[in-house]
Amino acid sequence: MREVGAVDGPQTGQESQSLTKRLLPKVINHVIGEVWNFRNMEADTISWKQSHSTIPVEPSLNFELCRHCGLVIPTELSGTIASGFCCSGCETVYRVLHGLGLERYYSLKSETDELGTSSRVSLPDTTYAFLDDPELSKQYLTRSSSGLTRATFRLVGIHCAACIWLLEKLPEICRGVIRSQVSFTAGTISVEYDEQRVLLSEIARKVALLGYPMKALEEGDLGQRKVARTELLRIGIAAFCAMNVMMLATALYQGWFSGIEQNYLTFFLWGSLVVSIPSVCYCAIPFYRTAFGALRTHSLHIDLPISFAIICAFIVSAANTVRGINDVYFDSIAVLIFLLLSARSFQRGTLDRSWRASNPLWSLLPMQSLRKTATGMEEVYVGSVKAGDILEIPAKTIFPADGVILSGASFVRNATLTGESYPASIGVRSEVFAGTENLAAPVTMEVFKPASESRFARVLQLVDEGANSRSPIVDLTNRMSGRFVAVVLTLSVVCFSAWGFVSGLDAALRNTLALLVVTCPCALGLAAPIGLSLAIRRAAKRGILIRGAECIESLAAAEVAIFDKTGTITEGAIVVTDPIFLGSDGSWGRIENDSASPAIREALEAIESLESGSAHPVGVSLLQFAKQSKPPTGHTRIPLISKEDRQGRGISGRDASGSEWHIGSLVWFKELGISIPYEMVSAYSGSNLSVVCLAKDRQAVGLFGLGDAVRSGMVELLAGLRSRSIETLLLSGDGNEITTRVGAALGFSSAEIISEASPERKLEYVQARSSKRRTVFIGDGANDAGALCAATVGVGVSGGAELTLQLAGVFLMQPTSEQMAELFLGARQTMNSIKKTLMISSLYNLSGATLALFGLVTPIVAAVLMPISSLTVVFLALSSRSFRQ
Amino acid sequence: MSIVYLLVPATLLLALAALGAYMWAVRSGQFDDLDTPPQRMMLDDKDEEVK
Repeated sequence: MREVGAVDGPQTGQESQSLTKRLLPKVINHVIGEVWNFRNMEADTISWKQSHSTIPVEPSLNFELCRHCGLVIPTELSGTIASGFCCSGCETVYRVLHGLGLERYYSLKSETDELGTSSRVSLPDTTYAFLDDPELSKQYLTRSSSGLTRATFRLVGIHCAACIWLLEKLPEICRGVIRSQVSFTAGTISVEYDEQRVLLSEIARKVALLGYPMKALEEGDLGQRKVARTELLRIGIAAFCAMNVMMLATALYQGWFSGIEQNYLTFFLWGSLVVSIPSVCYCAIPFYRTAFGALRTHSLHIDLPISFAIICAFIVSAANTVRGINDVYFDSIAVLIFLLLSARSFQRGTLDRSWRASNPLWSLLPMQSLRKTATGMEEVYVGSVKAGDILEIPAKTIFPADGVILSGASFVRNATLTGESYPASIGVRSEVFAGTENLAAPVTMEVFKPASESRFARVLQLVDEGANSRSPIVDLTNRMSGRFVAVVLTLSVVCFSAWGFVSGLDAALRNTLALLVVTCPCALGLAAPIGLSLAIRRAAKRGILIRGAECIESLAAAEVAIFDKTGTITEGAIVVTDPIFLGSDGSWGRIENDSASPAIREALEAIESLESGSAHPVGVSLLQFAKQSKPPTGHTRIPLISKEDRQGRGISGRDASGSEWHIGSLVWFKELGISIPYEMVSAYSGSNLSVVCLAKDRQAVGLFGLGDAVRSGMVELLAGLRSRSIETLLLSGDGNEITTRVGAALGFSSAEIISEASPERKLEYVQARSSKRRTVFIGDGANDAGALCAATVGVGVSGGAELTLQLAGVFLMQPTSEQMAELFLGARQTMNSIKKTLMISSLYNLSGATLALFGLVTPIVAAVLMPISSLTVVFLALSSRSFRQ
Repeated sequence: MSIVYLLVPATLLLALAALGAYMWAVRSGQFDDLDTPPQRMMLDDKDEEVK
């Protein structure tokens, strides 16, 4: 029997179970027919709302939550969309799923989606026809020998097991698809399909109908997969060798205590030698490679002493095997190689997860754009846009290329490039750039440079170069291994000469080798990878995504912290902060005192009417404010009989009762000759707010401060950093005045505030700082790409985890000051515990070295001492308290 | 005791067989994605009988 989900449709009542069984094939056929109709409607853009299904939607008891995505339904939407849904996207998907008999999705979702990470469905406004371009398929599709085609694409919205279930049902829903496989972490789906029976665009449309719009085509990442497989093979072979050499070594140790016949000794010695050859000659290659690289660049690396110990021990043990002497270290080397390989793989597995390489440029840009042709418009894949193309850019989309506006006027958010919080107005002949967002109205542009050569692409290129040219941080382990090598070499010389002087070459060789083996920094090599990757895993559970281990180390030792202003120090969105109204009694007051007063209510309703449909960001935030502040009962608006939008100044209108309303900037009010209550306006001076005024019949009735509020807890965070003598700086693309005001309020001295910085300047500035000292830059994901990358550690606070982690070292899923504080604290705790572990492991090595100096280390002592030290290190690393509260 | 000349190679062969199986599993991509199968496992085929 099927389970009935909490928010389930009308078809899943108890008595209809058997009915469903019988009817289901019919329903499927019906809806598949509906879905098939899409193909024939390809002539123009599909109206997604036409995908109606015959199943009625019952009024839901669960009034506030959307029946598809489970998110709260915005109250103002009631009436515009069928009840129980938050948007037409969710409604469509809900109906499609029910039509296909895939309701189980909802019960699965409620079982498996513990985090509640669902998101609203946004249906794409494209037919995906551009995917069928043969040029494209050459680059992205692979053909198997069985005649099937394989395509991998990135989807938006894969968040729980139910998504996997749904998407892997694709072969049942879509004719011609043979297999579909979801990769949960990568957020991708691979489909194998028969090109004769189905087109890629159709698959994309159906996947979108299930609620997962396609984001980008992925090129096969075979190279990376191969690297991962080789690593696993190495570990497996190392494990095999280690276990079998240990088995043989048991016999040798037994013989060491109770004597062993020479023929058996020879057999076991040669056996150990043969079995350990793959480990030393194949599995340990990564160590030799890094060690050789370190030698060539005259830098230090922990792999240097490790490789040295492995090779020396192996050669001498092999020589002893030939000579038939029971004095070999094969087991110690084999175990060492296995342990180190596993620890490193564990570390890499932590790092290389969902943020696998895909070009950030394409994840930001829209998939398709509308290109003008001789006959009309056509949709093209963003990668095929060329210079000289004429593109139509709808409102609320990202510009796909650099170019110039041919017609239309709009506002554009340049935050990606400039980090500016306020949108700029654009008109004919304005220059626009790929990656910036067209906010208000559709425009036509001529492409000068396609996305791959755009300014944004250049910023990303700078980032790449920055990442490659930056001198690698010598991490703690490698710094320690430097001292370590010096000490061990000195001790070896002492050991060799002392023993050579006292008891001859043979004993000297034997004891020096023993010294090298016991001091092999195995524990040292284990401590940092395990400690760091555990910290990274725990941090990820708390919403702090850290890309690399070196980030933790640099954060713990940070000397300079540079903060971006917009969106980092501040909330990043324009909100109405200090509204005051003229009350019924003629006095000005804040809204909390008297929100039910008729005058205030009227004012709020007027704002809603005036600003509805406004694309200007100030208008949007005013509208939102009005909706939120209204008493919940009132759903009325003042009906306007006329409305005039004076772009950039304000909006005026006249309502049915003949009252005239104005809302806009003080400058505009002055021009209109409306008197402004300056004694009230003065209350806003000194804050970083811009003031908007509302007037009824040319009499000011409301004043609103609009601005970007500083996040709570920032003052404490900054004070905490300064108390640990970390220099704090404020870097902003915004104007001097506003930056200074925000900075001063947070205790930045004027020398610590840098304003009006372009992305390129930010990059240079951060680069200059980080060349001398460990610098942490905390800023927006895409907006500060260059700076994030130039810093020793970049911390991105918004803009999508995937994109940010390709640029920065750290991404905070909730950009709160608490998370920033936890990041710094956790990093310090991690490093402290690693330092403790390293000290203990060096103690082991030291005692081992002392024993070796006195000639007390035999293979069996080494075989006991080394695992004990490794285990201690692992336990200590596991018990660390970082990122755990 | 000369049985060890037979037994030790025999154990090695057994272990080699296991290693071979592991290598085959790695090469055929069974370890490529370790995150999706555990999620997929939660979804049994309850609905198969419906069809």
